[in-house]
Amino acid sequence: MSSLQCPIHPDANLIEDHRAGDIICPECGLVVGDRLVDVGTEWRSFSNEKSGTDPSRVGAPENPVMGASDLSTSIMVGFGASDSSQGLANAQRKNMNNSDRQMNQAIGIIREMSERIHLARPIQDSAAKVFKQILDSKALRGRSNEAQAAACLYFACRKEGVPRTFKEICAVSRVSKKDIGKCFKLILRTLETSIEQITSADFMSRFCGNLDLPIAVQTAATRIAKKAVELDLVAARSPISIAAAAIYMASQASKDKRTAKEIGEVAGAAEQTIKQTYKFLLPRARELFPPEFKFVTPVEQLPAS
Amino acid sequence: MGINHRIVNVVATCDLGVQINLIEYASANSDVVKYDPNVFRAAITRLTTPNSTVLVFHTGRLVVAGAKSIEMARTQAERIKGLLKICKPPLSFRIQNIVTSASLDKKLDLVSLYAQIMIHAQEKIRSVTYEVEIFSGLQIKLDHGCIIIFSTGKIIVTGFTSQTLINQCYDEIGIFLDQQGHSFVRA
Repeated sequence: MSSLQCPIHPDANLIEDHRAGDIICPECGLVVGDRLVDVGTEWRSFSNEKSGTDPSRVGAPENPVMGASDLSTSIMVGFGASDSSQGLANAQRKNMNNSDRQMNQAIGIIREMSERIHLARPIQDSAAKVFKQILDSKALRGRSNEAQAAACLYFACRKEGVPRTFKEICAVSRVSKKDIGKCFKLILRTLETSIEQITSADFMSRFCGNLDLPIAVQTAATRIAKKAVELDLVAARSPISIAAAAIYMASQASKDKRTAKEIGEVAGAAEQTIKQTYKFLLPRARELFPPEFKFVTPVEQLPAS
Repeated sequence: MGINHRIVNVVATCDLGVQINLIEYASANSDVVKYDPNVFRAAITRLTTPNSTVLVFHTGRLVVAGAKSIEMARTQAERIKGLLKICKPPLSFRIQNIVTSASLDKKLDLVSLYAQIMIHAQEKIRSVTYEVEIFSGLQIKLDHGCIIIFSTGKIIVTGFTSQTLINQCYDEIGIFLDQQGHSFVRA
């Protein structure tokens, strides 16, 4: 606090009155400083609390992505309302321009999709920022909002280093993989950025987690995939197929065996693809496993397909 | 280093300059012509030896597809002109697209190829796309055409409308391979 002093009583300890925002001298009652900013905590009101007055003095925090018209007050009109409130609602609706409305809609869609696959808030915000950029550039004009939002979400996940497969994004969106792919390519061209290629390791923890596999199997599968790529056994395969085949091999060698079908459902790879890729890994299986791996089913007895 | 390519498909359009009665044409040549106006407003002519498909529209315009060379496209158009008993030369004949394919006979690592293109070849290309989940080939878009490269070493060059442009394109690919090939060519 700045050194305020009562001019009459320079030694007196000044008292802060939070309610009025004043600093008062206790000896003579002189208001020494006024218009204090209240640094106390803000009220949070929850929707199920029955309170007559809402002590909260501020609205939602300003969202830089949404631009100027981000006032969270929206005028709702109930059934059988008077003309004046209808007029207010119309006025607000007219004022909101098209891009802000699209932005709001897109943010809603992104939030909804992210909730379903438990994506962190920073990724959602990143996706919203990307959406704002492509909205401003008008590059993805004719595409549906859902497709653009889904592609932004895919882009954000990739950019933040936690890629989700197209199929995973498809699962929480009503857009086809083809449309998301097209929008994604347009986003890359508009933003003129390049992003990292996907690798098998990006998906290991998620796939193994969904299959309830212990950490030992996950580590083994990660190593199998990495070694397989180094040894060039799986020349042209997609990293997702390689990851799925590695998980298959690791789980079949451990106590928690998983069928190719189960892994295929989690990874979004076809069962036949996993078996085919697994066949490429099998001849050199011994080298692929980490040295300290505990084999429940030894290498010789691993299934042939 | 020359890359031997072969032309797989040539698409050309031709304007014969006269109105054609497709119903007469279809019934006169019913062995090779299929005309169903409810499905499509052109007569589909499938010529054999050599094989190609020609779409004949009532305005007198043709679309020749499936030809294996530019000359063959021209001769197929002439054959249709003969079938229609038209004597005057066509008003125009224009190649729309030539699809060619070639093979390097070497396996490629597309991830490193993508990286090399991003570093070295940005000025000559419009865009490069390599997304494994979308398509297994690496796609390079040029000003007038497109190159698709697969990890087996097969290359498809398409979109160009003349042999010289195609040769130029393959030469550029050859040069790039010589200069940077060590990092993405396996085996």
